[in-house]
Formats: sequence, C-alpha cells, structure tokens
Amino acid sequence: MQRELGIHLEQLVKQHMASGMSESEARTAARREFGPLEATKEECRDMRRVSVIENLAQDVRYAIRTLRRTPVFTGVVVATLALGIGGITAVFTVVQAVLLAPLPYEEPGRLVRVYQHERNDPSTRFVVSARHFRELRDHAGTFEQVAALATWSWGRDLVRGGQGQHLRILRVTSDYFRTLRSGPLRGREFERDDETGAELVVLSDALWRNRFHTDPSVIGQTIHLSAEPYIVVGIAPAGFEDPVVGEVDAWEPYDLASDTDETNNSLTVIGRLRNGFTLAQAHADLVSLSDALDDRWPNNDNRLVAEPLKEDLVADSRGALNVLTIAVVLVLMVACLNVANLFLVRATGRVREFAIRAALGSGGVRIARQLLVESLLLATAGGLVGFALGIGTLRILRALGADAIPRFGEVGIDPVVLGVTTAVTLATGLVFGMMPAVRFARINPNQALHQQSRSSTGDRRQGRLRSGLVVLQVASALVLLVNAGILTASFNRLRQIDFGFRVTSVLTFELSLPSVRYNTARRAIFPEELAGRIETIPGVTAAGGTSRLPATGDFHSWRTTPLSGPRAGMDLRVEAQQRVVSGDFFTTLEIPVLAGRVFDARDDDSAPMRAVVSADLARRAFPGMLFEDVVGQRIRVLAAQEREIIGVVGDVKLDAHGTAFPAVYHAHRQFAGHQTWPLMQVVATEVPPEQILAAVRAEVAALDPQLVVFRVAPMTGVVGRGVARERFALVLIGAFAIVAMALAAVGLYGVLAYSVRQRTQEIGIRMALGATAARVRSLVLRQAAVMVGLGTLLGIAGALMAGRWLSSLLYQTSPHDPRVLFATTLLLVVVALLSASLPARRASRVEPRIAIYEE
Amino acid sequence: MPKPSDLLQGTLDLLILKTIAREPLHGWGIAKRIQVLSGDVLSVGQGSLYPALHRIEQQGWITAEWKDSDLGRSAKFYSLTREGKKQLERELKTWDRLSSGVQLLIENA
Repeated sequence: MQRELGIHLEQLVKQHMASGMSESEARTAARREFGPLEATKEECRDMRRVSVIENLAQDVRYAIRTLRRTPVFTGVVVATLALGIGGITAVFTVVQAVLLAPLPYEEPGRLVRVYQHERNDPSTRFVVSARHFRELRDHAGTFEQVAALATWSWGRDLVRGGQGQHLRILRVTSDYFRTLRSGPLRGREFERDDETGAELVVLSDALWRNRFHTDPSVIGQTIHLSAEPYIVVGIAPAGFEDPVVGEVDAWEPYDLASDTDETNNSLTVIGRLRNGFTLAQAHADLVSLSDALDDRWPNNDNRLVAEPLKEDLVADSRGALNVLTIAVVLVLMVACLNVANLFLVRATGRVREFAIRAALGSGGVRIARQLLVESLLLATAGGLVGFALGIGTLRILRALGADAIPRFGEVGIDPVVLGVTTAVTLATGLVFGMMPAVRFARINPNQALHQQSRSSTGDRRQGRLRSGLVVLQVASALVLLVNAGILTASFNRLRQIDFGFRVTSVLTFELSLPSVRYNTARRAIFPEELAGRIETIPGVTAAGGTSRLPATGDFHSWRTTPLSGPRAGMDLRVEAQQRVVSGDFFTTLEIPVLAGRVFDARDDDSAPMRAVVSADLARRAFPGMLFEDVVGQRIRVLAAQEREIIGVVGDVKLDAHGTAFPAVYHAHRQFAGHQTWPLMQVVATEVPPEQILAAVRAEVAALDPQLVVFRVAPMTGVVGRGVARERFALVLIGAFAIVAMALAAVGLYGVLAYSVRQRTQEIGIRMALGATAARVRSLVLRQAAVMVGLGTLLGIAGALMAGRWLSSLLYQTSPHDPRVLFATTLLLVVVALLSASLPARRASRVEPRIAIYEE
Repeated sequence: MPKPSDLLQGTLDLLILKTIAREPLHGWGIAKRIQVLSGDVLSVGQGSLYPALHRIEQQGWITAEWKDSDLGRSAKFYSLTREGKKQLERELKTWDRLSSGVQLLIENA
C-alpha cells in the first residue's frame, strides 16, 4: 500500500516539475494536492477489515438461518454433542479428582499405609496391632514418621449454648498431623506423653468456626465432650480431612499405653517414607523388621507390609471408575459418530446448494468457511449445553456416589476438565466441519449438478462410509447395553439376598452415653430402659440395640474356641464376629431362635457369663451336634472369657453382598462393665419408621435430656449403603447405555431416511416395474439388517472383551451371561428395526409416476 | 431517493470499473485516465481512489497484480473479474436509468 501510494505521489511530483516547478516546489505542491497520506492508508485498511467482518457476519447470519430451517437436525446435533460432552465433563471430573489428583497433603507420594498380613497368605490385609505398631515406630528406619488412627472411634456429644451436636472424633497417636502434613496447625498436636488416653482434643477448622466463632483463645480452654472435660490443644488446618475416614470434627489421643492385647488388631497405620527412600526399600525394611519380631515373639504369625496410600484408598473404586470411563468414552464415540453421520448426510444433500453457489462465483474457501462456521456454531451450542449438563450430572454423581467413592466431597468442576471439554468441543466442530468442507472446496459445479440430477442410486463410496459409521454406533451401543444388562442382573441378585433379618420398617439411630454420668451400673440398665419405653410408642412392635448392625460389614472378630464337644480346645479356623446386644434385639430384627433362648432380665452382671451363637458358629464349633445339644456347651472368646451357650439363632449376613459368618452374641447387661459399648438402636414398626421418630426423641429426652440422637436412618438405607458402588455403576452405565442406544437409533434412522430420499427414483422405477410395497419395504429393511447385523456381531465381541473390566462389580453373575447377552441384543435389534421401519414405510409409499419424473 | 453521497460512491465504482474495462491499469493511470477522458471535468483524489479500489477488490469485482509499468518501475495493476464485468453491466444500466431520469426531470420540470 505504501509503495502503491508512493508511486502516485512521485508521478504528481514529476508532473509539477514538467510544468516548470523546482523539485522542492513540486514536492510541496504534490503533497498538498495528495492530502494526508496516513489517513488514506488507514481508510484503505478499514475497507478491508470491514469486508472481512461483514463476510463473517454474513456467514454467521446465513449459518443461523440455515440451521433454523432444519430444526430437527440442529436439535439432534446439539443434543448429541451435549450428551457426549456433558458425560465427559462429569465423569472426567470425578476420575480426575478421585484417581488422578494427588492426595491433599505435602509430598503425598511419600505416604504409605501399613498392614499386617498372615505369614502363610501374603495377600491378606489386616489392620495392625498396637505392639506391631510400637515396633514399627521405633525400628523402621526407612520411615520419617509413622502414625496410627483407631480403626473404630466413637464420637462424643458437644453441648454448647443449649444446642447438642454429636461429634465424629478420631482417636490418633502422636505424629498424626506431622505424618500427613497439610498446612500449619494452630496450637500443638499430640505428643507421645499424651498416648495414655489424656483428655485432650484438636478441633477441626470447621467445628472451630461453627461452634467456637473462630476464637483463638479456645486453645488451652476446657470444653465438655459427653460431659467429660477436655483441654483444647490445637486446631487443624482449614480443609484438613483424614485420608481414610474423611471428614471428622475432632481428634483425641489414642490410649496406646493400655492397648496391650496382642490379638487385638485395632490400628490403621499410615507412614511417611524418608526423603529419597523408595517403596521397595520400605518393603525390605519391613521384611527384616518382621523377621526380627519372629525371633522375639514365638507365636507371631503376622508380618508387616506397606502399600502406597493413594493406591490403597482408591483401589476399591478404581474398577467402577474404569468401567465408567470406558462407558463415557463409548457414549462420546457414539455421539461423535452420530454427528459425523448427520453432517455427512446433510452435506451430501446440499451438493446442489453448494454447486449453485460455486457456479455463481462463490470461492471454494468461502464455501468451506461457511460450513466451518455452521459446524463451529453447532459445536459451541453443544459444548455450552453439554457443560451445563455436565455440572448437573456431576451433582447427581455426587449424590449417588457419596457412599460409593472416597474423596468425593472434594469433587468440583476442574479447570483441566474444562480445558478438555473445550478442546473436545472445538475438535468435534473442526473435524466434522472440515470433512464435507474439504470435499466441497474441490467441487466441480458442473459435474455435481449433473450427477445430482441424474444419479438415481447415490454415491456408493459415501454410502459405505455412512453405513460403516452406523455399524460402529450399533456396536458401541450394544457393548454398553450388555454391560448395563449384566450389572442389572447382578444388582437384582444382590437385592434378592436374604439377609436373615427384617430389613423393612426398621428405624435405626445412635446415642452416646457420657461415661461421667453413666457408671457401669447405669450404662447396663439404660438401653433396656430405653427399649422398654420405645416399645410403648404406638406403632412400635419391638426395640433393641446392638454394637454393630447386621449386613454392615466386619466389626469385632475375636478368636473363639469351643471348650466342650468334639472340637473342644481347637480354635475355629475363622474368627467369629462378636456382637453385644440389648433389649429385644432378636425379636426386633426377627432373627429366629432355633434352640434354647435369647437374653432376658436373668442375664445381668450377677449371673454367669452367657452367650447366644449363630447356627453357622454352632455347626463349625460343634460339628455333628443338634442345636438343642449345643445349648449348654461352653466356649471361650479372646484369651480368657468363658461363656455358656444359652441359645442358637438363625444366621444373618455380614455385609450387603451376603457374606455368611459365625457370630457370638453377648448380653449388653453382662458386658457393660467391661467397656463402653455404644449401641445402635433398632426399632421395628408397623407404620413408616419416620413417623415414630419424634416420639422416640421424646422418650430419649425423658430418660436424659442431654443425649443427642444421631445417625437416624431406616434399615433399608443402612443396608443399601453397602451396595452403593454397585448402584452407582448400574445407574450410570444404564443411563449411558440408553443414551447410546437412542443415538444409534437416530443414526440408523438418519442414514436410511437419507438413502430412501436418494433412491426415490430407483424405488419409483422398481414399483413401476411391478415391485410391491412389501418388497420395497424389505429392500430398505435389508439395508438396515446388514448394518445392525454387523454392528451386533462387533458389539457382542466388544462386550465379551469388556466383561473383565466389569467383574469387580459383579455379584454371582458372569460377565458373559448368555441370557443377558441375548436379551440386550434382542432389545437393540427391536429398537433398530423400529427406527428403520419409518423410512421403510416412506419408501413403500413412493408414487412411481412422481418419483420417476422428479428431478 | 439516493443521497448525494451514495450517488457519488456508486458513480466512482462505475468510473473505475469502466476505466479498467478496456485494459488493466495502475492507480495513477486510473486517476489520469478519468481526468483525461472526462475532459478534466472529473478529478478523483487519491484519498477516495485507493480506499475505493481496496473495497472493490474485496468485493471480488477487480483483481490486482504487480507488473512492470510505463512509469519505469513495477506498479499494482487492477483488472476486471468476471463478476466485475457483470457488476459493470449493472452499474451502467443503473446509471442509464438515473441519468435519463435526471435528464427528463430537468427538461420537463
């Protein structure tokens, strides 16, 4: 531009010189005549810019108009993209937060969890006994710090300003915060001298904020927890959570000094490796430490082993999340295939439009840009809706997965995931926009117009590409459907488990009795009084308590030895679960009495120690004996506690997966003096359980107005938590499978409908030559059958391969269950044929006369 | 009624298109030829000529290329495209209608 204008100026100068001016005069005159050079340049640039923007605006306007003319296409594409992108956003956010993001502690890679394993079976994992922990802490040189938290911690009630709250309190050893390291602690943490059950407490940041108004002077003060005085020594860093149990309200020192029972494995142990030491070195260290312990403790049959902490925490959910990731990738794939297919079908149908535009002088670049603008608009709309959908899905995931996936509270939309979503969106738009654009950029208008008007069978190569995409869609959808079907079968089997006790119409709740106000005698009486009072509430049939609700997992397993009968003096191979019960526990949960009797008022602390055993225990400890004869036999639990069996009751399941186990029941009245046994209360009702809650609270308050009723839940909910992970996977995969199937059906419909439109003339000729409507229909359906058939074969192969990913989530169900395979395939085929039947019907209604002359 | 400025701008496009219809010309040449052919009645300043050339080029009516020129150095030559020829036809028709209308009005008013 500079050059062009310079030439002009120079010519003016020459002209003036020719008419007799001196060079300098001529230059001045020329400049005056020429006017402001820069202004001209600027104006020239404006001209260019305006038209680029104008063209772009024109493209966008045109694109919006075009898209609005085909609302079904636009809607389907946007919805398809939104489903794919929304799924990806939500699932990747979860995967990122749970599996990929490091633990929220300093140098989390150095954190390990230490277990005990049986000498003969290195694959077993047990929590650690106190004496092993002490040795580990004093002798393992590869660890910088080692700390432990009590596997079972009961909470305490905090009553302040007339408002009671049950606190989740974790009992931990010294060095707990130092091992984890997450920001500075206000005050101090526990020292070794505190490990005597000293009444000290570290508050969580949230508790300090909510109940102590962020008052720093609370450190050093005494507060009352379940009526006992505790000195606040510190406040945990904001946001600090325990890696194993999650959110807790406070920490108190574990009484390591009194934990001397070598068979009592009670500690969850975490450790921090010394800087520069590897896990392999730590393993070697633990092996030599275990060898040394064997020399000193002749009966020791436990050895120590370390696992990376994060692996340990996410191992259980890894299977579910992997399956979920595969599922969402499949859905995204189906979605993208669908969009690609729709774009292809649409672009092919627009050959004429573009040919005409090219003939009228539109450049290839301009047409390509037009297509690009259209697809980017669609991708952006899909991306935005998808992102909103993703946030919504994440909310649902969080609600569904709270019990299923650890570290789920931390999950929020992540910038990395946002980046991934944006990239996927843009890539989708560019790829599918460019595919037809590249083709049309090289279009020969003459040929295209000619071909379009004369071709009666359509472009075969294009047709194969479209059909191939449909085959892949059908296959992906079937993989998801089969997986969803197998999960459903497995989940149904889980739901049909007979737990051996009453699950419906049972209310459960907890109380914590402050040991200051409840001495041994009062504690022994309280649950019986409570059960008696609750049973007077109208609608209640029975009430009782237990130290652990059935079907909620492993609790106290103690070595149990029969002292009489054929196996007298021999240990049971399986450690029996111990349960402490009160009130009418067995009646409440309808656990049948098979022989003898269950506990009643006779079994107090003045009576000889008695036990009720489960049928499973009776069979193991007294093989070959009738249950009637088992009554009156003697057993020993732990090292020295002898019991007389007074009854045999039916088996209940240990967990939601229906694991059987041998159980010994103890009367709370006899046990209350031994230790504080917090009991979970169970109430059987004739009315919906929530209706009696207010009356229950009133009865509790009547006995002791300072007690806090907490963790209220119906028994169905309690048991349901045990299958949360299965439910989580099932709901998601099921939803994904339905979406994928719908998308595949849409894809199939699109391709067939398009093909029918393209072949209208051919069909017309066929009908003119005598083909019946049925024949024409079968022509289209055959085309569908080939695609669906190939897709089904591919899908079954894929589902068989994907089965092994699923096995970690299955309960008594084969990942290759032929019935499920058959049923889901049938479902897909039916849906596919339904979506194919619409274009087939349209084909059979072609009017030959019109079709043949149609251009 | 078109505003005077619209008329002027439209006229300038017509003048440029018509001027380069016979042979490709550079900017200076276009300005000179308009001046000469109109018997010095019309004079197009560079301040309106070059922006107009760039705009018309963007519309695809003319294309430009650098070629050796009679000025003793290479210059940017503008020539009509197919689209430009059509546009010229349209502009000529419009002009005919407009000028005959104006003529009629002057004669009969």
